Amino acid sequence: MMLYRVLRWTMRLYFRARLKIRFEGEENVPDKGPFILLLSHQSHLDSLLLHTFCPRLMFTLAKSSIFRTRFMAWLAPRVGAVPTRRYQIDPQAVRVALRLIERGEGVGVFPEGERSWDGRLRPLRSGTIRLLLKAGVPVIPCGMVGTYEVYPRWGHMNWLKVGLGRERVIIRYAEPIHFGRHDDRAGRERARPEATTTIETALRAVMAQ
Amino acid sequence: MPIHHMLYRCPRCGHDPLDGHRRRASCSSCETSFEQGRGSTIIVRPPDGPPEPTAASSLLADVEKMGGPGFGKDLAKDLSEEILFGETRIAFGRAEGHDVIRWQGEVLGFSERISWKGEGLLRLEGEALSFRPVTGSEAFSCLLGDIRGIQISWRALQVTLDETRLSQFELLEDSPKCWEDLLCLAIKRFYARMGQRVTEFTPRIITTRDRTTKDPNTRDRTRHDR
Repeated sequence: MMLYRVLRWTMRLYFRARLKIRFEGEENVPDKGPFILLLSHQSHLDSLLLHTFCPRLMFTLAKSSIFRTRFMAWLAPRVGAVPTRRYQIDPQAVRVALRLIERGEGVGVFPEGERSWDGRLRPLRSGTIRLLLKAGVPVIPCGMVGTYEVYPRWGHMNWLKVGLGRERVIIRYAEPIHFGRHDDRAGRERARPEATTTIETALRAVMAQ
Repeated sequence: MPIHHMLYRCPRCGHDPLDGHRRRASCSSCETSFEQGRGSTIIVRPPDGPPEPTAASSLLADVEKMGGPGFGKDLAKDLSEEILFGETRIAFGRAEGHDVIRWQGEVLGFSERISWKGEGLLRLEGEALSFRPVTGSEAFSCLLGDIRGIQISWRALQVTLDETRLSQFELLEDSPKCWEDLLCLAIKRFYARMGQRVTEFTPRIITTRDRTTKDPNTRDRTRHDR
């Protein structure tokens, strides 16, 4: 994780110069022990900011297509990205996520599966809900308020604009939600609708301006 | 991604498609232009009025209210039902095998290896999706009922035909969002005709019986995830 730490500090310098960032609820991220961090995906900046500023080093499920080039296949795992084949139910990604959780790591997941076009929350993928019900660890909803304004999916961002006139971004962590561990499939299916609603509500709350 | 890939249809007059390049798009019908303003604001410039900074979400909502893609809708010969069609230039690829991604000696996951088969025309007509090559030799065709999942990845539309067979259509001219919306609309209608309602498109199409349908012969074709 040495490269991860070095890049984290470099990116901190850059993002501090590029954005006005405020942090809320960082105390909700545990110092140790496993957890799942759920983020609403508004912008390419979300995962960069998460890996740069989260109080803990994170592993994040990322789309497998970013690993297609040799460079990214080498770099991405070293900065905590775990490939997920989004076009199918990817049992390997689930296994790795559960293995990381067993080791006491924090795992970041974008439950919508892709970036939003209009800044609003998209429907959550049922596979993510099943994963967190199976894992049974604290779930922390996280919102990156303002990243959509800086770099929307359909837009362009001026990466060189540093200094004055920086845009505001709030990185907000909500209190952990405990769903308990659901080992059997029937139990997960029963708990899924309520868990989905709870998470949607929590994500909307952390995304509020 | 260029602005007209999101606003593929004019939110003012409904004309489809918008012409555009990166941060700007314009409608050849009503002559309104759209330009990325500060952040996620879009500056709408009507031909006969002052510029109006507008939230992108509100323009997208206008497009959604119009029913998504405007092209490719036509009435069937008996005038009873609208049929969907569309044609666009694409580069066609298939996932053939995968690369293993390792970290610290452990298998972390897999990344699909896309093998490009050539360029040609992707065509949606009624209940059939097909690719006719212009360069290359491999064609593709399927019925909407065979599609197991749809999503977009950057400029490409990805379609899964069974558990793992991924076909990738990289759009060379049109908006991938427009094609995703068109295909999703066609699939929704396909299942609606069988009394089914699509609840999820990715990673798998999941349908449930539409309770509003009164046909007693309609079977529940819900596909459950593993």
